[in-house]
Amino acid sequence: MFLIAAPGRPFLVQGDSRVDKKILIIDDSATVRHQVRAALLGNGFEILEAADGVEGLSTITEQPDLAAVICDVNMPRMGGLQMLELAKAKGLMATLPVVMLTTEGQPALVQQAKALGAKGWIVKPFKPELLVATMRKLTAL
Amino acid sequence: MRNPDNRPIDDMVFDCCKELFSDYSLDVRPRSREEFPAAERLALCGVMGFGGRQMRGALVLAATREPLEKSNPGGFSSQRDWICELANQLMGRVKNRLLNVGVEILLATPAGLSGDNLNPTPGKLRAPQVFAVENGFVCVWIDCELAEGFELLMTPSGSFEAALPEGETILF
Repeated sequence: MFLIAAPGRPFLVQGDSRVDKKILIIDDSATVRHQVRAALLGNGFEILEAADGVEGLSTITEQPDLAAVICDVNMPRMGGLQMLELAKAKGLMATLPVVMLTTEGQPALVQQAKALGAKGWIVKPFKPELLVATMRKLTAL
Repeated sequence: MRNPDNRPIDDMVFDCCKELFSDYSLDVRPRSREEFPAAERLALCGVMGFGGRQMRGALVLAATREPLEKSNPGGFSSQRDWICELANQLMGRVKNRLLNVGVEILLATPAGLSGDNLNPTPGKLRAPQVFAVENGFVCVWIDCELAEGFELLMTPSGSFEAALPEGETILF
């Protein structure tokens, strides 16, 4: 157990239930990333951001303490499904819940994400309270 | 590829645009092109390309600043980013409805344009659909071509499983 500090916030104890769960949001829209951040902050979550699948995969690799990932599908450089495929191949998906947050509602894509290990699918626009409930459930808060 | 009668797809885009802004608590009211005030300035555009075996084209969503501010009340990020996301969400709705009538398309990522007085003129100079929203205006163009021999029929098709509706959350 050790103490950690964040700017403007009190000391938190790692391993304590009061420590925020770390969520990564991957979306090429800065506005969506901010909306997700606004919905989750203050509800027991700390937010990291990535703008595409390349950044997302890098962050997942470098942050082993991520509690969950929220990921768009259509993004420049690398889309969400391709990122899932690579993350799965690297063995990063075994214990990491990933929820897709996208405008896509095509069942074939939903099935593809499920086969790659995703745990959920949300069609934009999202309802903040529903997103919080979903992430609480997936991270067992 | 050939240019279709645009009415069915225009009607679909009209419905999707109303639903999209309604989800952001904005009432959009259709207006004729002539009712678009000369003093109004389209400041931002989001452009979404799409393509598939049966059809391809682009959707342009342009707006004055007020509807963008009202639909993104937190003022998060830039309005240019936001209109790209709105164009993306609008085209996503259109894609999901096309899927329900048996047409599968793939979406590009959105491109944004900002300027003092944008005047988009998509192919064949199609007239935009104009909507009054709060204290401003939104214009939407969809420009598409259909494959030879393909007819866009707006009747439910069993070709594909129905798309998930917007706002839907499913856990596996």
